Amino acid sequence: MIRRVVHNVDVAVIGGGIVGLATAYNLAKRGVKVALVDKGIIGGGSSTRNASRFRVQFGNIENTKYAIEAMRELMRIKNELNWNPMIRRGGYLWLFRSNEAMRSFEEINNSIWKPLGASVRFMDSGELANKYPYLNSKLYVGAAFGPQDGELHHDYLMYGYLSRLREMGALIIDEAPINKITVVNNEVRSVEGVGAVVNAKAVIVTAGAWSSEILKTAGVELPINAIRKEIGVTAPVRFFIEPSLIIDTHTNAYFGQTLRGEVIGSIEVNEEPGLKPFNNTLKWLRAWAKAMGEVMPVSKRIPVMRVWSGYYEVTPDNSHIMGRSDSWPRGLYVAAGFSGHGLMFGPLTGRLMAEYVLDGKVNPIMEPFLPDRLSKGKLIKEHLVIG
Amino acid sequence: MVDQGQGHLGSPVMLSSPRTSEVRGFICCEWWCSGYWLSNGSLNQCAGQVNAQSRLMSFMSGLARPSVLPRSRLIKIAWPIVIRFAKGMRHIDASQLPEPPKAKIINVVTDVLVIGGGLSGLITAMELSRLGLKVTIVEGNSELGGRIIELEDQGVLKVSEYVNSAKAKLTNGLLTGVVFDGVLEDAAIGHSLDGAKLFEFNYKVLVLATGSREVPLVFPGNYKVPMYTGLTYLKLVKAGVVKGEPILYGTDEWGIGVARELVKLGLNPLIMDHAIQPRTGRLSDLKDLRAVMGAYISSVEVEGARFRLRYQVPEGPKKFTIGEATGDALITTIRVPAVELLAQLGAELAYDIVLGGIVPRHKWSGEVIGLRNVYVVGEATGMIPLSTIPLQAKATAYSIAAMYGLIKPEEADKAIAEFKNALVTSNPTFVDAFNRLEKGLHDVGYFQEPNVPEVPQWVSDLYFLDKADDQLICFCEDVSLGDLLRVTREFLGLKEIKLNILHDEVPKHRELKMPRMEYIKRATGLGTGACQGKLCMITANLMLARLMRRKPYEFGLPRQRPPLNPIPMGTLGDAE
Repeated sequence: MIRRVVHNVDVAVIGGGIVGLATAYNLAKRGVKVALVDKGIIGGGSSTRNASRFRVQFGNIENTKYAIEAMRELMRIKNELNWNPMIRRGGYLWLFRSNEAMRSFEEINNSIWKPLGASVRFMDSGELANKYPYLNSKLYVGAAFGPQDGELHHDYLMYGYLSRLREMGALIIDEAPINKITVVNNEVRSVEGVGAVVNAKAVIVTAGAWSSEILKTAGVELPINAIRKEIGVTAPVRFFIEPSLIIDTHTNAYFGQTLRGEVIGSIEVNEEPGLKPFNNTLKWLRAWAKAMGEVMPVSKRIPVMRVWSGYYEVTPDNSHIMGRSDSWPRGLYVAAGFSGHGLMFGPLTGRLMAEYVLDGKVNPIMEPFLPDRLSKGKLIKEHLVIG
Repeated sequence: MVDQGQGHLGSPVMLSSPRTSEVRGFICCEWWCSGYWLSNGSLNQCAGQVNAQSRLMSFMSGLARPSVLPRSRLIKIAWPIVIRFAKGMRHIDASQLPEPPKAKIINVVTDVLVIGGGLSGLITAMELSRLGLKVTIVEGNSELGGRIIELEDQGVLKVSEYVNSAKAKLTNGLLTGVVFDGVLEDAAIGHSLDGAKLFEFNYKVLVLATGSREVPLVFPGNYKVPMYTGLTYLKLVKAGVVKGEPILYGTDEWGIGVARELVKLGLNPLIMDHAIQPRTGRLSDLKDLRAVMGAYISSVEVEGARFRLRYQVPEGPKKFTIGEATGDALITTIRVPAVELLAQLGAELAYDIVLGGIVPRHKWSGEVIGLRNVYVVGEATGMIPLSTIPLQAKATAYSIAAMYGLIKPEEADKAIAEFKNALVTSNPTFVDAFNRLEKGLHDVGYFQEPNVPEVPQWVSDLYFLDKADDQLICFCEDVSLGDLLRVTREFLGLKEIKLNILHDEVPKHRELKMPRMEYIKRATGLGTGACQGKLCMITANLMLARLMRRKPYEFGLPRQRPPLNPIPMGTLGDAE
């Protein structure tokens, strides 16, 4: 017989990824009794399956503003956490094979990034060859460098939040499959699963790719689709790739090097949406290896050591959904659908969600991302998705 | 990697940690170890090539510990400077790695794919072939015969005869120097260790005859001495590269076999074990050998090329006899079943004390429970006596053949019965162990608690926990026992862990939910190094289970990711 433990809290957060951890942390800091529930291990979904990089350049004003603020929050929060997220701002290097591709970047740079203080620096192929001799610069007409972008250690960021949450006495329930949000009289009452019931006045769904599944049990439909992405690391070699991430804009192949020396990266291959098993394909592995050999010839010598996969939780406009809609049951909130930007947006989202839930305050940079935009057709078109 | 075929045998060298520059004395020249300090022998310890020194100053080595580095306030404050050190970690330069040759894609279509060309793999393959199935053997080493072929005295078995007849009978079905890397969604892949071939395998049945693996010993200062695996030391002695005064740890069938072989080669090894009796169960096995039994190594002192081990022999509660031994090489013959492929495939792995570690749950036929058309045979099913392996292999082969209707089911039943009889005659506890696995009773109180009393990876046990930081578990990423304990404590949210309490006295302790190994792996980097966890994962799991008075499954094992051995990107990307 399975024992069902009943807990009573103010707010239940479903999903122990970066968004859930940051939300729970900001709530707990304000003295709210909070429970963080995850069906697997904390950070085991998408938050630690990514390349753990952050950037400020996005394809529109809303996301770029959000990203700049998110980066500031990341820089601030690292001092509050017990673990060192090992942030290194090596910059993003975008490589262009055609003048058209480079021009379209220059346009966004002038219209969006420069005014917001997130501009990139352009270089021609000569400078590229000079600065990054390990790249096959013959392929490229030029490159753009975003010096504010960088990398972090996703596990340590996660455990930094987790450890502070434990200190503050928050309830952490991991490996507890939550399958239902109970709604009574159009008001959330509890979240339930095998082994645990958590009674709560408010429920925040931060379950990433699994969000639409769990929201359905509360009668809410959100268009968040999971798309599986594969990624790999090589054996460690001496540190030589200075930029945090190098992106070939033609193939959408990307790679960087961790401080431990592993080259980490991937390439975009077509994948049908759906919660597929966390497997890898030879098709992707070979495509990635081929692209790497092309962009950086020395990588042919570097052995691939480990590959894995995770999900992009994609919305129709590749931008996240946060907050609630008046048509939903009272006390139900969501922050999900980050379309590949969840780790970098997570810390800020946590803070904004806590303010929103406790004070009812809608921060101006959060407003465009409210769920009602989908029903009202006010989509934010985001094209700058890597991988 | 010792390349016997071409005779590249240099002198083995002790490496240094890329993180702290401390010496890392584990020397392993087996084929799969080519992935240990980077692939394909380019950093081949046994060819005398080493990685460079680390720039990190040694006074920082305490702060560089995997469990300390991310949580140290000092490191956090000084992070912009520390980054520079981190970037200075002295791994090999990418341009120094060999360029892989232009690779060919080879499609292998077969009925049965046998992984491992040791005794059990060879016999299974030959029986299957005789019964009419098309069989292919994949062996990582350049030679067939596995570990046992290195011993002149193989008891009643003659492995070289099996090898010769396999070479004669399975001419097209032998792939040596080839790694099976695992099952991706769209293909089962492998590659040749020279990087010249990329394999795609099509098979109906997979037989895993992956055998067992010698793992580093764990005791205070274990990384300071030159520690060889038994197989490595034997090969190096035979090649005339080393000859000295070794101390050999471990007294199972293989350990004693290595010791006797070394005696034949003119060496005089000192045998040591913390078990009181030889692990074979026969006191007579130690006849004419120098041996210290019941010895827990407490410390080590390095004196030039030699070292001095201090050990304690428990004589009662808190009462020890203290002794000393000197030598110039430490040989570990302590083994665990090699189950990483099974872990990758998602098999249910269970701990069994009699079988010597973590083994897949399987039936008597070798069929792995929870997987389709996957069989396991040989030492990967547990450390069963060598003499029973031919009958086990036959039982597995007959079960597969019966499934295909090539023989009557009764014949398979008969083969299984023969194997059971052989096990009963050699040691009835093995039969019980296999029955437990088959019936799913492995976790329900059939082994005594506190758990894991005799599984052998460590030689220091509970006595030297004050020196936990000096006991290295993972040689690739510098994870020590102290790191494991600190991280476990962190995830339990405890200030301290009282290790020696019995669960009856402190019921609260029983209610604590242990952190999964997945957490521990991510927090410390355990198993993410170049050996991909082959040397450390099971050791770490069993030690934590023992120290925390838990069952090993409460920690679990992380999912093993493909590929099984690192594959150069050039091989993957350019193969045609």
